Amino acid sequence: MKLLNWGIGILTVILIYLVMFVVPPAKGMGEAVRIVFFHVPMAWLAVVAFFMNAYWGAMYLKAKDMRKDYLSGKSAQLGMVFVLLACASGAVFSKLTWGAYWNWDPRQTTILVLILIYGAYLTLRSAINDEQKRARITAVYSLFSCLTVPFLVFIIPRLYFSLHPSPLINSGGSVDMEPVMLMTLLLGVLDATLLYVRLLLGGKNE
Amino acid sequence: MKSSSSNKIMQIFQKEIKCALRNKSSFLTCLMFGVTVIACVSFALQGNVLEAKMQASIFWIALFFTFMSCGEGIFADEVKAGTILALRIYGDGQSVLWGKMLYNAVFLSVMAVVLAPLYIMFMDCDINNLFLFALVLIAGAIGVASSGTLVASLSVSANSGKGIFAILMLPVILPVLLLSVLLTSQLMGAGDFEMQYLGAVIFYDVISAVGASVLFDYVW
Repeated sequence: MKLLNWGIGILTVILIYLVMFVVPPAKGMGEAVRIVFFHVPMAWLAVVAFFMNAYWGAMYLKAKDMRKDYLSGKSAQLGMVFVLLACASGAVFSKLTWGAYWNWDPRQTTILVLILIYGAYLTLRSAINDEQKRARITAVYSLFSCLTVPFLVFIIPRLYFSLHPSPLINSGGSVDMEPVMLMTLLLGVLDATLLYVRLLLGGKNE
Repeated sequence: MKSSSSNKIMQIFQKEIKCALRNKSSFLTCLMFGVTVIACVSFALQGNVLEAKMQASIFWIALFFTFMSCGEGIFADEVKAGTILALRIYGDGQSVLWGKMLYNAVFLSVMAVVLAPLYIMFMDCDINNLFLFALVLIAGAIGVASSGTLVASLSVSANSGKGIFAILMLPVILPVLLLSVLLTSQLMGAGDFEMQYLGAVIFYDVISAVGASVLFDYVW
């Protein structure tokens, strides 16, 4: 765990240096592009935490091990923080580049649904006192909420016009980003993922 | 075995119908809730006609809150009446789920079909194709019913009263809600009707019913 702490610390310092001093302003986005290196890793973790919440929930239902429930609940708590940070940084980026904090872009819609799911899950968790019952009921809800994923990924984006930049790997299958930006972004995603693992495994129930 | 299972499902469905007919308050409360919401919107607008997208959105918001006002009762009423234990002894999880889901689907479809003409009249809506409109209403109601039956069983486990049902429901039924609003707005004149989205609503109905079935045994 000590090694992980050091790894995250060093990676974060390198990342801040790259974002503030090395990455050039992007065409059409200017200096606002620096937000992307914080926003994308947060959005990535919000989604990872959502699936991990469901995964640990399924593992709990299979093994009835309270450690799995702890990981599921902790993942949802972390996911809620990440999704709020992704939403806030995305809104600032949206205001700077498109002139409005919120414009019902498909990805903004998806992130809002994710906030509602995390909020509902955590509310349900806080409303049940019995530990075993809470673990069982919340695991079922987190798995059931996963059923919305195909709709959020494949159908909802067709309903709304999007101003959002292309994903990292665009529809043509190529990476449309300068190498230094790409490297910084991947480093940011790695740093954030390690931070998630550290926070997930570093709680009281370790 | 198969026939005994379907018998039990039908018996639970009939029991729900009989209970609803005997105690009409739940049906009337739900109906009057819907009427009140529609009347409220109509009073607020005072005869102003909205554009199709807005009409469809308000219609589905009214239906959503109507569904929320009565959906939780499917299990909460059993707990309140003290009959949940008897139901557990009599029925296996799958029979109880499918019986109640079937009842919920019929109940919500009837509610949607009863409230729709009222809304059309008060809001002065033009519907291009009544058959497709009824199909969208029923497909949407089935989606809400299939998710709602499982979520109602989860919400009775929580100790925080009625509010939690709507909180748990909204994120899981958002796909069907958004698609139903889109399809209804198209039928009210905002563009051509896109059949593939009706297919998506039916797909949601199927996967939410199957998902509920797979998970319900862990709740029961």
